[in-house]
Amino acid sequence: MSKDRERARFTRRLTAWVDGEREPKDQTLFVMEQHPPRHVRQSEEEFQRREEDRLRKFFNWYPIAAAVICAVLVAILLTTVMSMPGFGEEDNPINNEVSDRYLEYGAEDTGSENVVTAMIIGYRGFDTLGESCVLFLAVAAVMILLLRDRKNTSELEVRQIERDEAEAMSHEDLILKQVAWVLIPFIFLFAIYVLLNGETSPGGGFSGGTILGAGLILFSAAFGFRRMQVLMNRRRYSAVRTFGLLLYGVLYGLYIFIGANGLPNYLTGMILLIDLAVGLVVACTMYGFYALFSRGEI
Amino acid sequence: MRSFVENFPFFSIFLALLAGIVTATIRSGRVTYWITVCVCAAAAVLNAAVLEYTYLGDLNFTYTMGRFLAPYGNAIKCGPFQALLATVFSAVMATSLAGGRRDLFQDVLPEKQRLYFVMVDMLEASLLALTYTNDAFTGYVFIEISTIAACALVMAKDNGPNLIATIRYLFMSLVGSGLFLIGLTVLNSITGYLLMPSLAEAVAELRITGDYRIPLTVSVGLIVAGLGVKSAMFPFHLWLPDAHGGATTASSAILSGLVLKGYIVLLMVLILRVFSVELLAELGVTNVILAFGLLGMILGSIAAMRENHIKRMLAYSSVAQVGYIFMGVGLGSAEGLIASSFHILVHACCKPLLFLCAGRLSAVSGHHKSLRNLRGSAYRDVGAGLGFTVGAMSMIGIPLFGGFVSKLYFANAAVPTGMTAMILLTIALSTVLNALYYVPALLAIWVKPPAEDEAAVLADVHPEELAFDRSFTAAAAVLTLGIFVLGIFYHPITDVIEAGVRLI
Repeated sequence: MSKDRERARFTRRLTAWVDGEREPKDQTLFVMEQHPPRHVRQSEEEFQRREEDRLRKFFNWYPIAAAVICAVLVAILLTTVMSMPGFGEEDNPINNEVSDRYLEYGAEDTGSENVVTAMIIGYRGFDTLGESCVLFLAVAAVMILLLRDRKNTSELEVRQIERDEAEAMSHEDLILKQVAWVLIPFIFLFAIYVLLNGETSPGGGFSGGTILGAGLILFSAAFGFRRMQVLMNRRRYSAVRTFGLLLYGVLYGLYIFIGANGLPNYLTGMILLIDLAVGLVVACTMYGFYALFSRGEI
Repeated sequence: MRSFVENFPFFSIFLALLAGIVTATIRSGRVTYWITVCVCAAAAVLNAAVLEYTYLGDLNFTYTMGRFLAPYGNAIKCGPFQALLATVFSAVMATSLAGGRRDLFQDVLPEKQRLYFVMVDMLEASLLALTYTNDAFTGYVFIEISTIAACALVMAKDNGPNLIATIRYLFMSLVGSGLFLIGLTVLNSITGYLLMPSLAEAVAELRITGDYRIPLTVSVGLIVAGLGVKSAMFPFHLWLPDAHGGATTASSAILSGLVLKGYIVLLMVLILRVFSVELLAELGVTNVILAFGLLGMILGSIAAMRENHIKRMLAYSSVAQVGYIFMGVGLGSAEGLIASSFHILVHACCKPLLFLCAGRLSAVSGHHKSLRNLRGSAYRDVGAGLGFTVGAMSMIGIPLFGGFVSKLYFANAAVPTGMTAMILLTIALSTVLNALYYVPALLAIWVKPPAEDEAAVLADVHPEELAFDRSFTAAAAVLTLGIFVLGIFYHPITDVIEAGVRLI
């Protein structure tokens, strides 16, 4: 029985290999290889020979050049570090009125006792909005690259993925499933706790979101893609992700408008909501990377 | 209570940002295209209003991004310089999209088109933020956004060479971001600030006392090198031809015309507002920038001469033009910076025009890109032929076209320096080299090939491609007009730039 399956897999791999579905050899140097136009092109062998020659020369010099450049950079940076202010000394330039203000009036100014949260969402929330956009964009970029479409996935591959999934479904990992069953509710609970208490204790959007994302990944790994679809399909995923960042953008936009125009501030509970929004974005980013890299599908 | 116009830069940044978030949920590619074009056009109008307000009032203003005044919170600062650049960038972004529309919808798969426009929206937001920011770290955050978005624009046309080009671009870009970030960290730890005015005070004090000389030098060097890598300054330009030459038409136009400039503008603002030109001259950084700029002008053009792939030729030409801009920065004078700023505008009009026309010419030649196969293609779309001619003339520097004026200003700025002869000769040499590759390209597209060659090329052309492309022609007309305006009515524009540099 198992011998038969072994043979089937071997045949499949052999077919894939014969069909030419293997990693092409990377032959690109500084600038990508450009074939000369057809009318002046030498014979294919001549071209190959020259390419190999070029490659050999390149690999003779590359390690030396890389080592020299690295050594120079290391030397420059070490010299810099030697003459920079010592770590943690009291009269460093960094200990100025800015950090004093953050430490002394952080809670008063922003309503958050956790200074880190006060700083990243209260004082410098625009930067954090930018960082959240970076996460959002990163997932969108990976989607452009990896989301299955007719250019990057053939019928054969789709069928192969489906077969693999069916196989995984029929051989369930009992230990993983049982442990996940026990752990996942607690992971989600802890994530929500960290998210909601970003103002008063260590934590907040980024850490809470990471925990939430890890919980989603564990769920997906233990119970498989099909069951994950019940909890989070593509439409729901995209809605949550967009809602999170949109909430942050709109809230912080209003906050900036109010602050810059000197209007009275009604957005006192803003930090909690923004923490939640950041948490959603971070969790979706984590899970999105996992899903896209493992299956090319959300 | 501030005047309502002062909110417009913030509105335009957030408009683009929110549009980027919303487009991710819209299924139809056409709808997202129109949203993006409208957002860019709206941003251009808003910034034009800011330009009028700041130039006529001869003022600049700081806008706190939040409730906390400097140096505790974020801020943006607007003057005529920033408003002018933001207006032109937004307008060119919208025209580039319109001009590359047909290729775009062909090259990008329908289900991924909305993601492409997410990238464009975010890129617009990051360009505006890079232009307006008054905080060095906000600059870094938006550099990250534009890095990811720019790489995704290259990657969107999903084929093998493009993926390799994207990886190269990503690596080089990340090296650039990393160097910039290290430089910023060092600067922060020796000054204690991130907001530009406070940084400037602290740096000026360090310059007088002479404390922390090595870290200051290294941080200036790393920041210049980091931004130089990202904007394809000469020895770090090797990622550019693959990335810009292979991407879809609209991406090439946006990347070459605008994205490179975003980083240069940030560098110029940092130099003027934080480090001061004198400090840079004292540290010898201006000389290095000048040398790299001059080398880039020559070697970029020589590399372009050796190309027969039209888009790669244009990409190498961008290296040479970036060399011009860095040369102006390296002159270390206000005149040099004004000339560079003017050249940024000229190049932001010329290069998108050239890329759009090249894309269109190759579309009517069966998507062949070698000059040999483009022979006579200008007769198949006369608008594209004329647009390419105008762009090329401006690049060479013929009077009445925008490129001539910027070369004039560069030459003027070079006179008071000690290296007048060398700089003028390099400009002359570079002009000759420019002509040496643009004139053959012009001859190629305007001279009819033998009938059998033309028939062979025409066999590959899809009949739909030969149909009149309305949005392309409109975009090309707008950019051509822009070049003539820059070339003929340049005085008001240089006045605005002068006021802007003074008020920065």
